[in-house]
Amino acid sequence: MSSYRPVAAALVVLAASALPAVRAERLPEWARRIAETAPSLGDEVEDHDSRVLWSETRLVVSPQGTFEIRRRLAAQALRKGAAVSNGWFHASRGTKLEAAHAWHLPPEGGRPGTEAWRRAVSLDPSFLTDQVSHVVHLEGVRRGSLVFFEFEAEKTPTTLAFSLLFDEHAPTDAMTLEVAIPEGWEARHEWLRSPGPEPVVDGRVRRFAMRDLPGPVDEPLATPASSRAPLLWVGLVPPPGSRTVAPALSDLASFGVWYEALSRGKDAVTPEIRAAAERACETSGSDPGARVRAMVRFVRDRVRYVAREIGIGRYQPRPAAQVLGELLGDCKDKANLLRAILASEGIPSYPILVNAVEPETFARSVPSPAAFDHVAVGVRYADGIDAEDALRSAVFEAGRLGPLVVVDATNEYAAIGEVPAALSGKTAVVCAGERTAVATLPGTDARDHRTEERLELSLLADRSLRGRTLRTLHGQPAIDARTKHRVAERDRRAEVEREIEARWNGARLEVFAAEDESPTGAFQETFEWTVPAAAGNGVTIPLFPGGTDFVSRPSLVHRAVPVVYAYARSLRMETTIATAPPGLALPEPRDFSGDGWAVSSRVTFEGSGIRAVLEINLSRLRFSPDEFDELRRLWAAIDRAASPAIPYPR
Amino acid sequence: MRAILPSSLAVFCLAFAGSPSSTCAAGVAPGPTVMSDEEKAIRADPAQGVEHAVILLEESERNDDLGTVTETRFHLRAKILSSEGRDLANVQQPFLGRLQSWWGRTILPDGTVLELKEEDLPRRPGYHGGWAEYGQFRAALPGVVPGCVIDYGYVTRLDLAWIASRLQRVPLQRPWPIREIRFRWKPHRYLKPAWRLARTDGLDIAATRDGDVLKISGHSIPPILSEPMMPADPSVRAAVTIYYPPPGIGPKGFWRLEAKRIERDLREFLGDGAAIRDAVAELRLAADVGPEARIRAAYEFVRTRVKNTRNRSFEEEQVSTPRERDARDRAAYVLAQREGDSWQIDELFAGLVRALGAEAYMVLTSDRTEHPWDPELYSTRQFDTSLVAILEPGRPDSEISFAAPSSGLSFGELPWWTTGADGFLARPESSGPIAIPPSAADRNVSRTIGSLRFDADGSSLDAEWTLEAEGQSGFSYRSSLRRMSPEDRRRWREDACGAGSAVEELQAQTPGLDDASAPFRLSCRRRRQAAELGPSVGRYALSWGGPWVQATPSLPSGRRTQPVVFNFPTLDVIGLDIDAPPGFAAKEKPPAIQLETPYGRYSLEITVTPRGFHVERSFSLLPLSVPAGEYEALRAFLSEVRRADSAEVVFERREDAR
Repeated sequence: MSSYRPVAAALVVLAASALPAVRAERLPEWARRIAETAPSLGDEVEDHDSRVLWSETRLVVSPQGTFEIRRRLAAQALRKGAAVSNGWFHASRGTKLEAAHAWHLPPEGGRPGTEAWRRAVSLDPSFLTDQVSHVVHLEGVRRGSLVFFEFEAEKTPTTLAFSLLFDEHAPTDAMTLEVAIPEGWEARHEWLRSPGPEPVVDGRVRRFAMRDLPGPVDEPLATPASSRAPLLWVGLVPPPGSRTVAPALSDLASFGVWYEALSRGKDAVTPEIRAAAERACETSGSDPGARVRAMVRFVRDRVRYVAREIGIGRYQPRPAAQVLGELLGDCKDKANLLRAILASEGIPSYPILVNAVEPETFARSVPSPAAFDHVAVGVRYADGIDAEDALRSAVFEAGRLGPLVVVDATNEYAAIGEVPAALSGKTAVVCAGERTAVATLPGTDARDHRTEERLELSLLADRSLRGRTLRTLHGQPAIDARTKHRVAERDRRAEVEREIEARWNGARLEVFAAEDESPTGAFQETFEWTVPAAAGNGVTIPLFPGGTDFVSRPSLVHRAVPVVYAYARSLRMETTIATAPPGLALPEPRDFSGDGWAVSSRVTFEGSGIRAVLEINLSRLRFSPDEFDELRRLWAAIDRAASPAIPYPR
Repeated sequence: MRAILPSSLAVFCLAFAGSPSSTCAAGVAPGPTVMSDEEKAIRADPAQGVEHAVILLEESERNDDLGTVTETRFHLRAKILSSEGRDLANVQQPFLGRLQSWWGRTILPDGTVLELKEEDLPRRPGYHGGWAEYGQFRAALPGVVPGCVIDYGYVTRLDLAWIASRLQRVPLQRPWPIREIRFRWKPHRYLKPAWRLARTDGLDIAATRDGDVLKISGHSIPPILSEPMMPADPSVRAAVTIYYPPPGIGPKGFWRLEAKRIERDLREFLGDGAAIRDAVAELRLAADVGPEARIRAAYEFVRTRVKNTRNRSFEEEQVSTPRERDARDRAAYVLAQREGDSWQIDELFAGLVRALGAEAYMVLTSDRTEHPWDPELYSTRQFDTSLVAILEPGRPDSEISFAAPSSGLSFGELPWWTTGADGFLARPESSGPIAIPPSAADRNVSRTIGSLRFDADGSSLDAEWTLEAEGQSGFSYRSSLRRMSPEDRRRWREDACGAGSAVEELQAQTPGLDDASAPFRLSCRRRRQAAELGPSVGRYALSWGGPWVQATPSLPSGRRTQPVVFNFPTLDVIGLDIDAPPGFAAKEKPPAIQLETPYGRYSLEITVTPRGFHVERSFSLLPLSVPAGEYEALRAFLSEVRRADSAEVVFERREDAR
């Protein structure tokens, strides 16, 4: 080891010489004021890694509509290893970083240190992207350290709107947004998710300030802390006749017109698109519904999804003909191609803009494309095309556009008629120029995400048990199962095997077969197993094995945030046993219900056998801490309704 | 563990000294623009592991002999068989570098060729990283559908000094079958190269030398599929590792010189021996104490009196002050401070053992869950931790024992991830691999004692139990929990005590978590709603299972290609009292169950007691590794265990309660 030390030292010297000059600077005045009043730390372990003492974003709008952005952040590391060594500035499209500074004040005081290095990196998970995050790193940050970051940037916005999430991923003492607008301009704002303060207006400056924002508490089955944080949108309106670098979108209609112009011509129906539509529908006959399904499948299955966030391409689809030629694209590209293909058959459709990850991002008074991260398609079923049963879950009302069927051609694992949980119940914008409408996407009914399980049990003379299950899944459960099955068939089989073993100790899975997408769009799997006779067999046979696992149950013991289920769901489990044990007394019927849920079970004789049915419906998604008793009632009801068992024959 | 630092500076200087050679004579070039009949005939066959894609040709070449840079050429040609396989057409540069050239095309089933030109590649943002601007390109080949062939390649350049200081592991097996694979490496002319081809048994892979160029070729390489509880990837996947060992050390003498270096460092650490002699005096050993007892005393002294700075709890870590090791950190300093890092504590113990008259040497080990130590790979970067080998005077090598004082474990117990594999015995006169044995199951015991009781009206079921874990079982729990933040620790405790479901009350504690001399303890109390036992219920069957029973491993059926590897042999013992619900009495006991196999033993005995039932269950898993050929037998045993665990106890309503 020691013989290599000189080499290492030389390397360090070389590496250091390549870094930006490290300057010993005084803290700037704004940081010094904060440092002077920063609290000191005790010996106890803090609840969070860090706290933000001051977060300030200042936006100066030029008469041309460009933004000068200055961001200042002061934070204190509360735990060793806190992630405050790095200051981040996420530069969206059209943003140019002008300056970045950082200072570190160690807990023991002394001269502040400054940045050790800075880099531009891409954190955007999109496969193809030009998004850049600038990071400035501070060395030696430890528990009690104070860190200060300052960034200045110039941005040419896509539209004259700005948003700020009041969340710094840490408890925050004070957070502000200051907006300075040119003479004659107006600014309007809208808070989302929770009410926020009105701005303090001082001349042309509007100042929004919040204090004592809580730190994140992330629990399983909970809305992430950042998705609960207040979100502020500020819309900027120049005087009439102004020439600005970006448009001011003042209402839904203007947003729709802007989006229509952005997409204009991109959905042109070329001969190649017409030919692709014909090829897709080759085996679909003349049934309009079947032809639509074939066209959707063509785009969903043939066009490879590749996330693409480059330039205006973040919002603007590429020409449908190009996407068809390359057979690759992202959600807006796939949606646009699907619309062109549908149009070639005369079927109207509309782009649906939605945020598939975050809740409540769209401010009606400040419409902005940045509120969305996904595009689906609303298909108008009219004149001879019935919205078949299989599509009912996907039908929604889109204002003046009437009823539409939402189709997500991006999700290769979603059958037509299935609404993925990420979209169900979300507020979306259906773009149709001046007729653009805000709508709530469907998929919120418990039956939209249903599990149907038929279990046939046979008790054999040697006390062994043979079972056959036909399971049919719709909606998100189907999407989950289909994904696993397509990615690796053996992994899905192994998952079913684990489930069988957990429900029937000692069971051996003998047959497994799955159909990814039945004619009605369901995922279906059949499996057969045996539990050999042995002394270890239980003395009872459960009639609804696994029924108690239908709803996940996080710990409520110390929980302070709501339990949030991702989607509504229903279960119908029907168990038949060919021959009932002699002298069997049937379990009593069970019926339970509460606010947004219902659970029941019935066991009856059917011929010489038994038929048992368990039904669980959960349409309610959210249970606040003060409603946990209601959640416990639901869980207990499931336990009781799913508990019936019959004695094992002797 | 200390790792040898790279000889990057030497590389840097040498690179300037030599004149660049031409690219090594190579054939990394675009493949044909037509699909051959053989390629057309390839179809998916999931049963044979051919599911999503087949690599027709993967060839790569690294040329370090170009002055200050290294050049990598890569070419891949593959047949896509499913929608999932299309992701192979999303190309991402494996590490940062400067793209020199690119080609990429898709050959459709109808023969159409779609090109992705270099100028159409979007660049990810690069950064200035020392000597150069680095970037990373990404490319999405167009038109990819099941049945097509993709063919792409690129040339990238990188600073030689950066890559020459690293071991580069080039996988020769993928999750997809490979028809043909080629790899070439031209080392820098002034650097001594080394390479290690591993895990190629039974595969058609050959390595040859053409002058100073290493050539590796392989044909019909089967896919390597992920299997639960399989050995670490480097233990199973064919790969070649290329690197430049430290200058001046030849392969033959590498480990011998390493042993000498480690011994030299150890002697330097121990210094003139005065501090060690003082420490021995502190042991206050009676004259008649035998050699083993003396060594045990030294072990306890080091384990309990010298704090390991690498083994701090989350809370301790919060208030600790980081300090780099320096020249002062000799044994005297560590003893005075009563703290040191893992390596220092092991060295200190070795010094005490020597002072007590026995032999002691450092042993370097790797974490076998990550990578085994490969003695044919001449790099100390493979090691993760250290042990101390002990040999009493005059005893043969077969009686070498091991100690891990820095682990906090009791004498004779070793961190499980170092066992069941070879370690490097750094004994100057005879260094080399030495087997580190796993501990026996009866050293890694978890004992659970508990009760299930109904409340007076039978509406609630109270469960109370305590888990005590010793040996590796306790060590695993303790070491992971101590590192957790308080909130994560609380969540873990609650989960372990079965906090989900309709639990009405829960207490979950881990008393004495920091006391390494006592077994790990988890105490749980929980109350939950009981089953409805209305007047019509005359017979009540209750499963005795719950969170107090540790999960039995579950392995999927089907073909197995890799051995099953367990962490360590274990023995779980459970004693559970189950009271009858009010108005009920225990009916009859289920039959006792005994299972005995090479893989483990299981026994379950349920007896009737005046209050209800008593359950005694014992389950041991004996081997560390089970060969793939015995997979079904192992599965059958585990399945039998699960079935035995499903036994229920039955209560019947008492006559006086009807």
